[in-house]
Amino acid sequence: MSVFLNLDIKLWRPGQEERIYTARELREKFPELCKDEQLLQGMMIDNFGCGLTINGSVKSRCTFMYNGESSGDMLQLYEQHLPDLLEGKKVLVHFYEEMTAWRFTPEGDEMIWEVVDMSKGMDKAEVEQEGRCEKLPFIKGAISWLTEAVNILERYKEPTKRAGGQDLEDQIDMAKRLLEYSRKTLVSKGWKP
Amino acid sequence: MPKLYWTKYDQLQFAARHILENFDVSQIKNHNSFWPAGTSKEYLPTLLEWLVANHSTKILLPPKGACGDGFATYEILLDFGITIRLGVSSQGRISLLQPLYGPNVVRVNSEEAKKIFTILFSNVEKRG
Repeated sequence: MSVFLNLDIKLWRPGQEERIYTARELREKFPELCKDEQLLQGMMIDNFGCGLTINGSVKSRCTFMYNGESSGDMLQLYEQHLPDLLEGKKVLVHFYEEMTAWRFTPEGDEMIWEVVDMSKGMDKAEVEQEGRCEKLPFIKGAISWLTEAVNILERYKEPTKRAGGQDLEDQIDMAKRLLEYSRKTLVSKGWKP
Repeated sequence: MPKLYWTKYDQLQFAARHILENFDVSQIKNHNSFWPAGTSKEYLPTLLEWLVANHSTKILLPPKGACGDGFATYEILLDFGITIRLGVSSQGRISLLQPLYGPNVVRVNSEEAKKIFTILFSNVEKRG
């Protein structure tokens, strides 16, 4: 019953096949990808997919929102929801522009996961998929996702700048602060990284 | 009553996500919603001003987080029958304006969106 969050980036233009790069490919194929104009133009934290992967199968893939200064939904996940999950509280992780949310209901070491369609309004939320997974590996997976996001943004910062893409500096700063805060909070509540 | 505001960046983003003519194809999501045909990006600031004038009292700003602004969303039924989702930060910045459902609101999933934009772009290329 493995659970983790995988990071990827999807690129698509009308008439083209969709291209998906995993975090591993973004790292390993850097010499080739750092010249890919389309990738560099799309390189930003709110284009990074966050996939809920249970037993190797991606159940839901969402992206966070970034408004040029901060990411409210990412902040909620890392500052509130992860510590709440650790303490056994039920959480609803929103991905605002996606109109999709993930609901986690802890039960001991495990939790019930649900992918919820919020597109018809909060009061008409519909559960699309559900199952069980482990709680602590999810928290570890979320920390790994953000660590990976920071590493990739730092790696692609210069080529992205040269290609006229986003200035990734602010995004890196925000993600680093959030990562440090989240780790500290979790550890203070008894989490063992 | 909270002081609500939005930036040029937000205004462009609202159009790039929810107006067909201005849509940024790199931002296709699992669920996508579009304002009724004929809605222009110039209309959005007018709508925002009206929302601020008429709905500010229903909005409570979310508390600030340790690493940045908090964020909360509100669903509001407009007079013309469209329900929208409004996202507001702790500072009162509106960074989400999304039509949810109502008359002529178009809702498509990612695969449908890709088909629509492939057809639209190929028609534009043929005309060009």
